[in-house]
Amino acid sequence: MKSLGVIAIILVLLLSSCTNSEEVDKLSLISAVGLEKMPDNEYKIIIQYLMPKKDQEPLPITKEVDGLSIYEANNNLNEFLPRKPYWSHNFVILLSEELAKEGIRSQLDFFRRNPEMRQDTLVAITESPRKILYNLQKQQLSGQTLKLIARQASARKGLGEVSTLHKVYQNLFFKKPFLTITHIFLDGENPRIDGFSIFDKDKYITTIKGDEARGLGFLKLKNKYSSVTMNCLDKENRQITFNLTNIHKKTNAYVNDLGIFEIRLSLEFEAFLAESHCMRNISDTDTIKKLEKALNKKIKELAKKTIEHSQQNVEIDYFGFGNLLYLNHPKKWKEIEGEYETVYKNADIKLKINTKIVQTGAVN
Amino acid sequence: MKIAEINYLQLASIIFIQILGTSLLIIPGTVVEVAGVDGWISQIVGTIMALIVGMMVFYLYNNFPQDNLIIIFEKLFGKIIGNIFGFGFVIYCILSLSTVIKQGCSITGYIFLPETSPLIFFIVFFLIVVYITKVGMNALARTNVLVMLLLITTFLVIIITGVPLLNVPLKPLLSEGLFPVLKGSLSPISWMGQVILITMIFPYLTSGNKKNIKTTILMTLIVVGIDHTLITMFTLGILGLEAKDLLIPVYSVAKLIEIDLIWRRLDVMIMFSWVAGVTLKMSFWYFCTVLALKQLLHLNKYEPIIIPLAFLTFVIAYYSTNNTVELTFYLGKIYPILSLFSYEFTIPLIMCLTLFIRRKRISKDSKEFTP
Amino acid sequence: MEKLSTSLEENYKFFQQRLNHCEDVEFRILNPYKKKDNEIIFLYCENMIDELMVFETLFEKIIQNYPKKNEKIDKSILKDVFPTTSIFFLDDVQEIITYLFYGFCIILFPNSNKAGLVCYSQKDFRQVGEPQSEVVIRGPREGFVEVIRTNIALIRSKLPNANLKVRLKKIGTESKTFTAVIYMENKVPLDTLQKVLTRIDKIDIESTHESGSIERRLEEHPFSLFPQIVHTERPDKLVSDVMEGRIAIIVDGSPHALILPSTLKMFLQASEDYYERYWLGAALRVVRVFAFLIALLLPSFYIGVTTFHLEMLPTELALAIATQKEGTPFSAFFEALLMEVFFELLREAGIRLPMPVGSAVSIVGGLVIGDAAIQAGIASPAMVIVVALTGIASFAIPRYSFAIPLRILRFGLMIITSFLGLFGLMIAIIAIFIHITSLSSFGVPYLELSYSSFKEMFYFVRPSHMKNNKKYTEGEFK
Repeated sequence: MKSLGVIAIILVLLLSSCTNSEEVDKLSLISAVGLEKMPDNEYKIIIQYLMPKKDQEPLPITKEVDGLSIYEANNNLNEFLPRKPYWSHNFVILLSEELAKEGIRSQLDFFRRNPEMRQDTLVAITESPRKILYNLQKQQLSGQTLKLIARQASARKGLGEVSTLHKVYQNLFFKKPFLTITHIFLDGENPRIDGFSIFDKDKYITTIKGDEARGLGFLKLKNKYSSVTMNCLDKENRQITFNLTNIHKKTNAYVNDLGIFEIRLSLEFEAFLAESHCMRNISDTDTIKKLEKALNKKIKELAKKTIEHSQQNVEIDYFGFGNLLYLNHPKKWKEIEGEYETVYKNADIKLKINTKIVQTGAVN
Repeated sequence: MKIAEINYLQLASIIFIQILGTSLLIIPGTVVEVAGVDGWISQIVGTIMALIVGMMVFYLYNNFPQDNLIIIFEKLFGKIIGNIFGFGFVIYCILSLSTVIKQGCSITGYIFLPETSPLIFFIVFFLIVVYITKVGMNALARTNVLVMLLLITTFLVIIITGVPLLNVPLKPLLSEGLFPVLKGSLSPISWMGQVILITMIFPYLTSGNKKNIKTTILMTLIVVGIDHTLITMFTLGILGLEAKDLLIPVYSVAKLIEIDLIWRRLDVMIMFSWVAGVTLKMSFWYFCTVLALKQLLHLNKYEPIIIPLAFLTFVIAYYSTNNTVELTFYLGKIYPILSLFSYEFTIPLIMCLTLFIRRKRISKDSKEFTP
Repeated sequence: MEKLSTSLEENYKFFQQRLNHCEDVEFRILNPYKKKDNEIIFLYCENMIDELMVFETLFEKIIQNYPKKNEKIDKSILKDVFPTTSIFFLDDVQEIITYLFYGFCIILFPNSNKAGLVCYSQKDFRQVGEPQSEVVIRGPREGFVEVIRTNIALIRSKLPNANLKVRLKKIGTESKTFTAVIYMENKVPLDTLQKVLTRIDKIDIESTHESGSIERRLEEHPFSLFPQIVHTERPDKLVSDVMEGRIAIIVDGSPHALILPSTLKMFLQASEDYYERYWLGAALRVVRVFAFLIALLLPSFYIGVTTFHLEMLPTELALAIATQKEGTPFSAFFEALLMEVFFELLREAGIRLPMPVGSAVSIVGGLVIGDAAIQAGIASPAMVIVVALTGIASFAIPRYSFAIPLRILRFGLMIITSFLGLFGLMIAIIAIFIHITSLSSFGVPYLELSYSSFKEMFYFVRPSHMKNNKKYTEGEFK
């Protein structure tokens, strides 16, 4: 009798609880998602899912759907998808610039609240997520590729860290958020990354590309790798390229007695000569000294450009100096917290750059 | 019936699982909520306070190595007051146990099977807890050692693989002053103060060197404290104050960690070992509850009351809180005060003082512990 | 009749009647002078005895020494014939009959209520050879046989020591099977020995022909899935265990000796571990722990991951599994169940068949059907890999008896996991471990982890090979 009871309990238990199990062939694995704003406050979500085909590479397929909220749009997906959308293997969240202007924190809430979601998904800003995802479908590339591109670009081009969902939120929780998010644009048919979008708290401001963006790589708190090309010492029209590694940063931020925000940045690099179009012979120490000096100057120039842009054009501190002040001098921070924008605009930023050329490559 | 003998390693593992079984996932969240970036200091403060509780536990053991809490109550305070304290202890146990059950069920539900009815978890835990209690302390103590290994492994894996992800400095130090830190330390003290529960199993402990027992209790508390501190530091270092935004920060940390094995994500692993820990914690609490009630009611065996009492406890647990918000509020704000002002700190303190004052006049009437 | 009477005729009649239709028993009457009251009757079981020896040494010598015509014959004649051989006299009929079938020659005398017994036992049995169930690459090649005397000799030759005690007991009300309890007097814990002896005495069965049937009656938890007594065919393993203070039981007619008390780790170790290089033994033991876990958990883990927790897989693997799963009709659970049942069938078929056919079955089963199942879309390749790995892992466990619970539990775990996912799996694992740790073998916990057991586990030296060998009760387990 007793064992019968136990068996009954177990049966009830077993039969009632299979709601959560989902066979692999009843799921569509979503690999990328784009969010856009529709005119009447509706969201358009564009998803790319991977369609497994027997004995073939899975096909990325792009679909779009509308909904009042993202979750609803997610449910609406099943109006035409035969399988349940599965988000755990999502790699990319693309936000349209328009949407990002309204503040990304609320837009990303769905991806935070859902326990199924990964927090190291790439968050990227783009003009039109729709176009990018349809282009990916055309080229049969999955969202994973996009994330890998972002990772490589940030590592090789010195664009700061990859902005994952976790990093975005981590940044938003700093005392003074200094959010920068990877920006993707379409170059013909190919999605490309050559810059970043800057934010005021969580509201999109603008995108910085090209040379102006390069400085960020040196100034963002964590970066490992970057390269600099400058003119040769003797010939103006030829270039010499250095690869910078082992970046060692010392930053100090404080407010002096006059109420001026002072930032002292000292950067130390180890440089590798990567390519030279001039000066066959750089083996003597004098030349190297000269090169180091020129390199310092060039890096300073690049960094200054980005800093100036941030201070004068957009008037937003996206390097995290404010946060640095809070971390080291929380009392000073409290004094200037209210008028930080103006304080930062007039901040005195001094750069000290020290480069060491440690290798000149296989050619003597 | 032979009394199970619990050796030092098993004692250590019981204390370890008993505290870390639930706190591994929850404690950084509750502490960071209150103390912010100084959460790890709260943990250190909590550990030091918990050591005092540990000392009190040992002081009791030193004087009553063959009795357990219920008998000690009676010997210290006489029959009537002792029994009141004893029944109070049973109620305290049932309340604490019901929160443990609620935590176990809601968090496994949230993470493992979000679409499944929570009732299923209650039934599953009910069955396993009843089974373990029936099998007895011996098997529980030995399995504890295995699960402790699992938990330590999980903990070390998180710590080691988490190092590259650390990027938030733990600054500024004490920016809000000491008060939030002390307030934040309430929760770890109440967690680690649960070491008081081993007063229930004094007669089971191996009758060896008393000094070794002392070392075991204190060392285990220190190790648990280090675990708490490290896991809080890592949560803060990886997530920053984002941790405040998350229901279970440690789980989110585990989600971020990527290792190149088949088991690429650590979150399932941490949940896997957490479920093991919480099951054994529940069972140990439940064993103590049943034992206490059995002694108070002067029963010969505790087997007959296992199932009825389990029904009661699980029903209390099922209806205790409606959602995780209430649960975290209860765990963070109410439970620490409740437990510290009752059986985790105040009453042991009274007991130790009474013992110290009336040391000579403790009733020697031979009431013996029978399992 | 319980005792022999003094009348030879009565005795003869009694035996004639009692041994009616036991046509393998020979009655021989020696009466050279054809005189009443002057005859000797020999009884022996002709198949159990060396008949030639009986003729040469017994009959001929008795005839030579036969007393003169007028003198009475009595049992003292045996003393003259065999001054050295052990001869003993019995009057209990039941015992005499038992000895008759052990291979003794029974000699009945006139006017005597005692019969003389001389041992001529000889059986044609299997030679000592390499044990089939425990093959080693390095180590002695001898294994136990079915004859208890040979087995005891094998042990004794390894330990010519007075501390090695061999206690003979008879088990079975009908079969009276010889059973030897072997232990080292100076190492065995006395309470354990006492427990074993009383429990052997309590065994109440009619007959036993294999140590397995008394193993079940010695265990404290006979209905547990897990075996609590190790059996071995290797004398070297037995002697090492006996040297550690364990007790061995050998049953006549069975080449499998029992060793107790046994713990879980003994089921995971092969005697070779101690003969090979330290590092190999160390690595192999870790491998076996993994084999244990894989054999128990892998299919259910696979089910749990693919149907509940796809997020923990690398995306590439998840996609690969999804691609393979495309077009197969069954759920992961049913697929796993199908393949596991199929595998168990194959294994069962392969074991019972003669060697050459057996390997043919495994080839056909493994390659042809496995491949065909994938081709036909019944199973996905990943599932076949999982099932094959599980099978291999269960073969990697050195003791066959320990693989059996894993095979049974695996199915239970699969069912639970298919309903409750990895959560259910973890709960089931805890239940299993609670069960394992609640077991004990003659007072020694079946599985108990402690500092010294870790040391033993990772120090990989058999205590009996160390100089200061501690008894297992002192240090090894507690």
